[in-house]
Amino acid sequence: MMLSVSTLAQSLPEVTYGEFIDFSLEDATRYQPREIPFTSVTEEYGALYVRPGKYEYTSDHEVWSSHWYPYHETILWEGKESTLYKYDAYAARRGVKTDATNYERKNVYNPRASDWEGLCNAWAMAAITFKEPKKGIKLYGVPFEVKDLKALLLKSLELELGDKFYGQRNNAEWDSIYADVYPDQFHRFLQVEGFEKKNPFIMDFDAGYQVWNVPVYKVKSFIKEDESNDEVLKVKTYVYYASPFNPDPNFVGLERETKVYSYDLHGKWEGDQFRVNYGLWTGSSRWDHPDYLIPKPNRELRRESRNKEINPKIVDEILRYSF
Amino acid sequence: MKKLFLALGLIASLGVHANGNQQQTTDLEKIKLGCKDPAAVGNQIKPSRIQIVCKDQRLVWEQTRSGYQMIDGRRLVSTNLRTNKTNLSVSPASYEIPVAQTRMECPIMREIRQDITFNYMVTCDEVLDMGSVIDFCLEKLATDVEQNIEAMETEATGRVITACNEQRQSRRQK
Repeated sequence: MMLSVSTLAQSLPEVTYGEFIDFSLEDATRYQPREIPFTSVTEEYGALYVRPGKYEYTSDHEVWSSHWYPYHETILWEGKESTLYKYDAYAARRGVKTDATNYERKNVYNPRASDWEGLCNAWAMAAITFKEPKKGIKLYGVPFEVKDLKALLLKSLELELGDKFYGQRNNAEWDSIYADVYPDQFHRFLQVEGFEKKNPFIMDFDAGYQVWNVPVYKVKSFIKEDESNDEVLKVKTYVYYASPFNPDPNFVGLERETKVYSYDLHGKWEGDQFRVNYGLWTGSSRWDHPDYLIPKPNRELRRESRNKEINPKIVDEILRYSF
Repeated sequence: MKKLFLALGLIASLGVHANGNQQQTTDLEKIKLGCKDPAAVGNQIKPSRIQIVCKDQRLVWEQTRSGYQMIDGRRLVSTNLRTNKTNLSVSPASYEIPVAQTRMECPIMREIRQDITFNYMVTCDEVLDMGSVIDFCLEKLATDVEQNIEAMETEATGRVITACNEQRQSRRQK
């Protein structure tokens, strides 16, 4: 941001403070240092070409909602109804000694964790790759509810972060670029992972330092020409995702939520295609846009928990009957 | 930083039902106070990452196909036989004569549930300009739904209405 301000200031001979602020809000994005990783999508997938029209896809995989298990909550380990108490009980009856309950309480649970920190990454990854655990089951006399099954699946994916992040993760540091992920990069990602491959994907919808990963299952994008400027296309994109905000941890299904983003794509026509040079978030999308995007990994997932007493093989054994 | 949430359900039908609006007004005023004067609510900085959820649910009817039914008409021919040269009793008679049926088009409608739930991240400036959350949502929905009605997710509820008279249809089929 500082770089862009000084660059812009040199090119503007006389501006009032108010004009300067307006200018920085509207146009600063294009002057941001757009180096790798800020163009990581087009670096990998090639330049963005678009045509006006309506584009949409729905993923073949059904994503699902789940509680996101904030780190400051005790739900995982407190009491005999807690998931990890049941897990330890089940493991013991199978002849395996585990102490996941105490490990979680001592080493993972954090009453002072920020209230947005939790297992949203693991849930989003589980939701785009696994079927939803839909029915509770009693195994070796231990009753696992849907909330327990989902929690165990999430814990077994706790350290799976995906192969790639497209967009810089905003950590509220000096070099954090709020406008990233840029809309041209965002749109190119949608073209490849969405419209072409029809894959679900993970999106952190908070452009700031908080992380709110959600599994996206559907996108609709409307592209129109700008009547006053033939070097601009105006885009409105609706992103549909599963929400983690259902008050019932045993909820089964998809609690739907939508983000709507508006942006301008700047470029030039090449025949009947519009080649995009850069994009700018517009309207409220200037502050409300995705932070980064994670595609569905094309490999076997890493099954590992921060809780070293949780064995993914035992988790899978429990989950086997719940889908 | 505390994440602040406002949730709102909009039922877009003939009227607007706003359950819990008193609590929501109070919550909005708290956030406004935090935006105006963070110290008044025990913070050093203004609230951030404020989210407003606007849910729009509709039940609408759409015509799936057009059915038809044949409607019977009636034709009655009456006769009377008379003369003044022969002594006859007055003998009127009526005859129902077959008449061509009329084809009546009748739409078959199915009920569609449309819904969409938007999550909007708003700034303190937007909150301070906000009259109420419902005003904010209605304004946003006017832009984001009314201009792109296809953005709504739709599914058939299974309810169907047909304007055709089922009894007449089945009689006709015999």
